[in-house]
Amino acid sequence: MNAAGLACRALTFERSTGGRLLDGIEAAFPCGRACLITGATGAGKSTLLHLLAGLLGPTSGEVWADGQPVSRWSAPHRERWRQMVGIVFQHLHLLNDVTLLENVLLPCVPRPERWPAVLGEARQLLERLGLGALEEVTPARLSGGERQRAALARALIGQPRFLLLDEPSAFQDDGRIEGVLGLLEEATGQGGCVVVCSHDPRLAAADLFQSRYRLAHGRLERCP
Amino acid sequence: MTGHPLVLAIWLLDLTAGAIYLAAGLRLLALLPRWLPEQSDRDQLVRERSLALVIYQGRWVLGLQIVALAALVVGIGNSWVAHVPGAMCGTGVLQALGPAGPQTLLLRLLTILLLYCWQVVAAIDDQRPDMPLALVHGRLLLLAAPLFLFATWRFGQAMGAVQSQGPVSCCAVLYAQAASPGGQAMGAMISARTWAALCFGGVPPIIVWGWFQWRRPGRIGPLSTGLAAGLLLLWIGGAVMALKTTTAPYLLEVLAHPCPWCLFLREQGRAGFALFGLLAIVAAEGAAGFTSALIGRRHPTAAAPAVARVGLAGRRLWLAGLLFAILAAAPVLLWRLRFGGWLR
Ligand SMILES: Nc1ncnc2c1ncn2[C@@H]1O[C@H](COP(=O)(O)OP(=O)(O)O)[C@@H](O)[C@H]1O
Ligand SMILES: [Mg+2]
Repeated sequence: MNAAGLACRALTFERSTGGRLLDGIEAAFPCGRACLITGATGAGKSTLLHLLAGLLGPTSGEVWADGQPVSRWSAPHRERWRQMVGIVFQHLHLLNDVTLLENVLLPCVPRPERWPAVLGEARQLLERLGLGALEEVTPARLSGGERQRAALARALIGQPRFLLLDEPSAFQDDGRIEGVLGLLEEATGQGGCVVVCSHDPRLAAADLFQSRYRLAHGRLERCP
Repeated sequence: MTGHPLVLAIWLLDLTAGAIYLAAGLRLLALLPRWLPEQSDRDQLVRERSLALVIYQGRWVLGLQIVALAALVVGIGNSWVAHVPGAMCGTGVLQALGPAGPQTLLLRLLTILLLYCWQVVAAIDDQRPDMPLALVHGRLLLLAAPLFLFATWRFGQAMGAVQSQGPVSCCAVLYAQAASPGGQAMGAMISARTWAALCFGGVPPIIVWGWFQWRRPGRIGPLSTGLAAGLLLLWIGGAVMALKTTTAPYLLEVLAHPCPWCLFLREQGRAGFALFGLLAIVAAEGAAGFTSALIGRRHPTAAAPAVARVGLAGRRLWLAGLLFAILAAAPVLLWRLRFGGWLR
């Protein structure tokens, strides 16, 4: 449990509407690795990702990060820890009233001291994801794939130690997926901990993922 | 007077604080006996969320109590004076309130002091992610509950007494007290000069001590901070006497008028609020320094934030002491500058 990375310890989650969605999950997602979690829709993949990101509190059990039980921490400490997490939501949650570039810069707002460097990084990320010409456009006027890549840029800015991605390829065509996988490979190469939830067979076939899990009936089973 | 907006405001503040306190207290009673931080089962996680809410609630109780005390002092010192026949300042109002009046004041001060110490421990605990002091501040919060109840009850009694009260003789009682055999003996034993020397002579040591505590908080333990807190309380007693016997005559421009409540009147620029407020800060930070030093010694996991809080208390101590000395000496020095001599 002291290893670098994320870990679940007897992680259980119940919705207030009843039913045990996740049931005593034990898993480790070490740093420098990309892990893929597959499962049917409604299996609880997004919920598990939100628990790992500290956006939801477990019903029982713990989430550990770098040997610390972060899910048990009091709210201000957890909020501070979450600055090390980049996340792509299944439903993206981009802000429609501000431009793409401003959306990407959002996670950096509490850290304005490195502003010029951060601005350069944001432009570079958008460029690499084929969005360079669209940085002044608001997300509402973009296609699904473009919006999703913008959300990926927002997750990657500041090179967070923990990267959590929920169905990151859902709106991408085959040509774009290579670029996305390349960015994730760079992140793991730099010692990041990458966890991807997806039921996209194209991701399942990718070499990037050194460990694969399957979520079913509230249990996370390791796939060979 | 019992229908005065300020009285109603205090009732409302007390009732609100009481309801929040009750909710927090019931939660604490349910979670403290079963607090098991090493477990991560459902019940413990629920207890941890519950405790986070309790801390939030406790801070509201403290805030509401401070506002209620401020309202009570404004009422006694200013607003209710016109409503009590014969009263010219807060001394008259307190006479009308009967013994319950000063009691509710004192009990409220103690409640706030204890809640402030609780808040200090909770804030130290906040600096650590794993809440190592949960049991300590949980119990401390419960400890202040009886004081809170007693203070509110005595406030009700005081409000009951004021209705049946005839005209009061206000500050005249102070002269009667001074002329009584006990008062004369006291006056002969400790003169105004002695009180002034105690008060102003005490300020440089407070500044030096506060400065030292601020710069070197790690070298101060619970014993010295506890001793300092006790001495500070004694000094505050002397400072109040000096305010009555030395500052008051110059502010009121009379030879002698040992009435603290006259300092709260508009004619005196409501100087009493600042003067007594600073003394309250000295008392609170003395207690905070002691509490933090004790926590730092007893709970090594929280030592770093506790030591930082000891330093903060030190800085506030010397600042408040200095400011008090300036404010309390200002009327005397201004008089000297204007008229070239002393009153006596
Ligand atoms: N906010 C919510 N409130 C109640 N139920 C929810 C909520 N979000 C998701 N669910 C339910 O939890 C289950 C798992 O959802 P989710 O984690 O999104 O699954 P997946 O991502 O694997 O498709 C689903 O049955 C869904 O209906
Ligand atoms: Mg999902």
